[in-house]
Amino acid sequence: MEPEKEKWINDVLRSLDGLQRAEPNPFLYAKIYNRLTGREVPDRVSLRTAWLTVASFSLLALLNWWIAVGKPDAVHSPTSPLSSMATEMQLYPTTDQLYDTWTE
Amino acid sequence: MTDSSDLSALLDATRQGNETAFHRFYDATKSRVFNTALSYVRNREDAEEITQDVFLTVFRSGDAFRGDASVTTWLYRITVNAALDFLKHKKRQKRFAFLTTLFDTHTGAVLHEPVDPMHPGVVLENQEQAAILFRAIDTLPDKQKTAYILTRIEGLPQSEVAAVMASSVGAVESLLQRANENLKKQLADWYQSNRP
Repeated sequence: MEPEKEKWINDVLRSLDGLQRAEPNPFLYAKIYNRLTGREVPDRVSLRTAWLTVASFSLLALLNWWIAVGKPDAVHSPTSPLSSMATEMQLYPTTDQLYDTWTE
Repeated sequence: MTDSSDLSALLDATRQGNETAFHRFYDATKSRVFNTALSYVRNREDAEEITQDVFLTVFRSGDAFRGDASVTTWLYRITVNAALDFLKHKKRQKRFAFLTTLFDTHTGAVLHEPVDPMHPGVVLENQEQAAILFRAIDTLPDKQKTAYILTRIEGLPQSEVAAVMASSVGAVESLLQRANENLKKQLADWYQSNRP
């Protein structure tokens, strides 16, 4: 084996020398005790909640897609500019034709 | 209060439901349980989860301690089994969960920890090399991994490692030798593919 490679391997194998001891969270005993006495309070979101969130967002996205793409007729209002103007001016003709050009 | 007979007395009192004794037992032994777990999983959250499981086991099945080994040996045995079970469980979940990139399938928590967590006790200047070594340790078979962690990282004498693993000193020596060979092979491969 090349000396450089061998030195590197030995350095890596020695990299855990002087590893410091770590201490657990000071509240860990309280968590254990709570689990023992059945008073465990979940401090994280449960898997069920995560799945419900994903399902809700999926449903919301699906409904949005269905409204935007699947039902274009229902979304588009058939209101013509002429009808809008007539409504705005409080004219209530029986038809879209404001006056009959063939009478009088 | 780390003497084996004291620990035995505390365990006896714990078995009878004495909460103060259990607290003292926890204080006397939490460091070795937590650090052993940390050597397997390398991040605080998972190590604390394993530590919780270990002490729950101690409290609930203290009767299982028959006194044929020392209390610390028995405790190390529970810790090693809990850590290996935890790793297996995690590996199984990674195989099928398509949402693991978003949520931790064990707890449902949104993942925010780095993919390759670093043992908090590693000296700063050694972190890069220690990360490579831990990745290599991860690939070892369970028995070699346990022998290596308990001897080289936890610093236990081979006789105690043999007791923890319910094996002989010779078998532990052999496991350590194979673990070293495998690690050197892994590291040599890593050197070939990552160094000029």
